[in-house]
Amino acid sequence: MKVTYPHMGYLNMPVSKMLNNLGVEVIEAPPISKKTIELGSLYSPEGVCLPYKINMGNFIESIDQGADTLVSVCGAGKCRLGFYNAVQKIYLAEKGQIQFYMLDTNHLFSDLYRFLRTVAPRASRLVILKNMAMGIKLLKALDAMNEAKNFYGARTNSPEQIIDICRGGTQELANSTYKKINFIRDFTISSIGAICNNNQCRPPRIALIGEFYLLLEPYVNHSIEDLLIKQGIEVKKFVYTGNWVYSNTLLQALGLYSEEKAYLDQAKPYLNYHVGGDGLKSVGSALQCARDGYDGIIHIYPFGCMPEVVAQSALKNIANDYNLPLLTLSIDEHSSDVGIITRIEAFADCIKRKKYQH
Amino acid sequence: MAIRIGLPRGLLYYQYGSIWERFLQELGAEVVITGDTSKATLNCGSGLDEVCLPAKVYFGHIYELYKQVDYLFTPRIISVATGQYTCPKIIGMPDMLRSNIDNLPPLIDVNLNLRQNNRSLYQAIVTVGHMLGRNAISSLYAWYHAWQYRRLEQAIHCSKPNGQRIGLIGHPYIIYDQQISMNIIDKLNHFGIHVITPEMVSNRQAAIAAKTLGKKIFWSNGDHMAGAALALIQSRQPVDGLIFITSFSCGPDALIGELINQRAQALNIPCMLLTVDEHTAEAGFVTRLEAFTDMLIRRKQS
Repeated sequence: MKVTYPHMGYLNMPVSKMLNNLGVEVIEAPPISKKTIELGSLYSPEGVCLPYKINMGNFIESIDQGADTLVSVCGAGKCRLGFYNAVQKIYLAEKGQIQFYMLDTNHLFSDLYRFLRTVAPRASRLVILKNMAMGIKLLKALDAMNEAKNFYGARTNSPEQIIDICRGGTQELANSTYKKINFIRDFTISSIGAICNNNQCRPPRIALIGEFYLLLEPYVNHSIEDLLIKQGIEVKKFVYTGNWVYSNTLLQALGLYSEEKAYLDQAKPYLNYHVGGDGLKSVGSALQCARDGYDGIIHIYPFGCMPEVVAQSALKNIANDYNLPLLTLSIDEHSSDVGIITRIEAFADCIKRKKYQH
Repeated sequence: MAIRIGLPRGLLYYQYGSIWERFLQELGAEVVITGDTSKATLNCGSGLDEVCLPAKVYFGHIYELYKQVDYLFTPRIISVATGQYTCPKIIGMPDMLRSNIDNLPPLIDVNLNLRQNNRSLYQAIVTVGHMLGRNAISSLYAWYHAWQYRRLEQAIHCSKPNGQRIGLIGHPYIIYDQQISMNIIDKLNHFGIHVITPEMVSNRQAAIAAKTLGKKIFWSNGDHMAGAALALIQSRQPVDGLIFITSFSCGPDALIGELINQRAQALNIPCMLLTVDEHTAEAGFVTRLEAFTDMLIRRKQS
């Protein structure tokens, strides 16, 4: 049994670590490249959204390298994510005997546990739970480092250095043990903080909102965070893998957390119902940022994403009412990087000019 | 003077409009329904980015209507069947209307969520009645009356023995809107072809056929369309061809069309995918239909 999974940001790191610790053979898909997207689009329906195509490309590339067990997440309603696997299965069936495991986001904890029990029948329950805890801890550490990078990167003259340190720390985490995770995290964050030479300045702040996959996968969003940091702009993100996994596994399993309720009050009166995916969350966090006096909003989503299209019209209104600049980036497999980078840079310039005029 | 309530002819109007109209009339309101979609409707609605054509058409109808009425009836229909949803755009429609059109009259946007149980339907009925100054019992009675008048399900017509039969699969708000679908049913009938739409397949047949898909489709329209298509191609007398008509950037259809296409190919039944948007030219559309029907005729002869 050779397990593989699609890429999404740094999610592959804890997953592969978890599976390796449990003695499962893992074949990781090659990093997302132009070829992945081309392959994925070739074997996907034309009108489907970009994350589907990239997932498909990841699967095909890893099957070509010998993987035979695929694992992926699926939602349970409204958004197309819930139906990805049903269609992907049909195409991948042509590639031979392949096992498909789906983790439902509504019962992530139990599904993940059951999946690990099946692929690692010899591991004890305790070891499995411990590894799940390790995965979550690792993700949260990565999130914290990323957040520190976004904060300090905008307040220094050498953002490249900070980005490098963060990248180094990430690699170190990949090889660390459970006990060393917190140490590496703290060390990286303090060395990032040490470079920061201008703690007092107040750089322009941008809220980065939108669809989950595009926010988290640097290949498809053209490392938009690093790009903005280099322009001296602080980026605030509301979607973090670790936080999401944590609240959707542990807290939700205990009944302490409901994503829907948390954002419904926040998004009123611009959006009054959960429209699936991250639509409600985008609007809720944008509104919060508008009230907190942010300098701009960047909304990024795959072309044709149903929940985000609904959110977009609400965002336009928020931007209007609060006089906030809003940049909407709708991305598909044909988006050229130059076009997107130019738009982001122009937006950053416009924000800076607006901020420093006053 | 009776309260004037506007009912746009778009999206789920094609499925539930006659009941809504009757219900509102029973409650003593004057119901204003927009006319058929026209080129002008499309032009009004095209101001929106990235939404599908039926949603733009819906906006066009609202533009036509909103200055003449006291209320707009735009219920937020979240789910019409257990365990299913309609579609994110339909769910978010009242919010999209509010964000994009200024000076709207008050919307009657009661939530209707039958995903878990039917309670929300009765709540919605009572709320609408309350807005129009009726008490709970008389509004429920009005709904009961309206329900009696609903269009009865059409049974599958037995086809003429020699004629070609084509299954035309698509959302009701695409197929029955003559502007969006370019009158496709009449065009096919004109070619001497018998057209079967998903509405002509009974819910039961569709549900049985949809079970063979493995994973349950959680969009109710999509579920019925896929079930109907499978029922038509897997029956003892399968249709001669399938036409799947969808609008550009319709999310669920992108996946469901693919599922149907794969199944049809496996059973060796020709399947054509037609995607419409506001730029679709009628001549190109007709040419494709002609080519498809010619191919079916030649196939039958050989």
